[in-house]
Amino acid sequence: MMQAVASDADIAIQECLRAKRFREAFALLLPHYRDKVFRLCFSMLQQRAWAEDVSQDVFLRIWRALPGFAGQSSLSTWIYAISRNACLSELRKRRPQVSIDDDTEGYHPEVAALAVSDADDSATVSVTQMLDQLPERYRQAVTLFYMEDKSYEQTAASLGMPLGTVKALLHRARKKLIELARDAA
Amino acid sequence: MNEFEQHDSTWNDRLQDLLDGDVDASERAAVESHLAACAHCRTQYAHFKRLDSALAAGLAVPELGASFDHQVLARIDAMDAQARDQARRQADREFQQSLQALARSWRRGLAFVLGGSVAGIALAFAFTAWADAADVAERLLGMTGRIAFVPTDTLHTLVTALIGAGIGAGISKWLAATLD
Repeated sequence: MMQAVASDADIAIQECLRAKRFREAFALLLPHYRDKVFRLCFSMLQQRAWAEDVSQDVFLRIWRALPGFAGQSSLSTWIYAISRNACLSELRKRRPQVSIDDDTEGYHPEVAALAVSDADDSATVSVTQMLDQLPERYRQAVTLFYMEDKSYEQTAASLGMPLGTVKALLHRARKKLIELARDAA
Repeated sequence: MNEFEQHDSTWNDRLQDLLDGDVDASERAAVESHLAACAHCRTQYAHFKRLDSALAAGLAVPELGASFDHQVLARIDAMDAQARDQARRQADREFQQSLQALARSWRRGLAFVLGGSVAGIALAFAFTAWADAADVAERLLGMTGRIAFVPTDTLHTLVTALIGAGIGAGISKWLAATLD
């Protein structure tokens, strides 16, 4: 597993926690992690409003759990774990029968559009629909990687996966998308 | 695995590393040199680049609403107010319970005192009346030969008190149980 490096903000937050100044710690934590938590939630839930609601719940959970944070893991690892658990719990509530390893095959016009000539503007393709054809783990890795400005490190930290795993998922996801595009052409 | 698949499995990851800039100078030179010589990989790399552009453009970073922080902090304040109310209610409940326990303890103590007193007085009267009727005093005086150091009046009082205390304790216990 990738070892998260504590940022200056994390160090300041942990100093406040040690001094039991929880309000101050939270006031530092919220602006530092709000967007990262939201993007992680969005990559898992795929719906903006839903991701925003769950992100709020994540920060409430963090606030409640903050006095009990004993620093066994890094602060960011702890926060992302809470976020992933909150999303998984939400997904189970809404889609209890869906397996995260489901793989869908078939003709997908959005994917086929990728196979057309270079002159076409592929960026107009609905990427969200295209990614829906991928297995859950691939889709999450790709979504988060591009939303996190193509940072393997941040993607791995958010997903709680080793960097090599994220890289492998991303590479396989791209290959899969190109294969789907070829098949659909 | 056929020859093309073998070729792809060797080069696809390296092409994607080049695409992501995840290569050092020597690896970059090796992949670029291969690309110059391999039409298949050039096509594959073009597909990767097109896909990369589509994903980068299509996966716009979603922005959180400006009110997000305010909403989170408002919910935390509400949660804290609720926790404070709960703590206050709990403290009130505990205070009432301690008052009730104190009142119970006073009632029990009072029952013991009252019971003991009533029993002692009743027994004193009863014993005096019985002793007078049965000439017990003379018989006790006869015993003083053996326990001469105890005056008759004291013995009288001591026996009265012992029996009175026994009955009084029984009455007190019953009263305490009834009052609980």
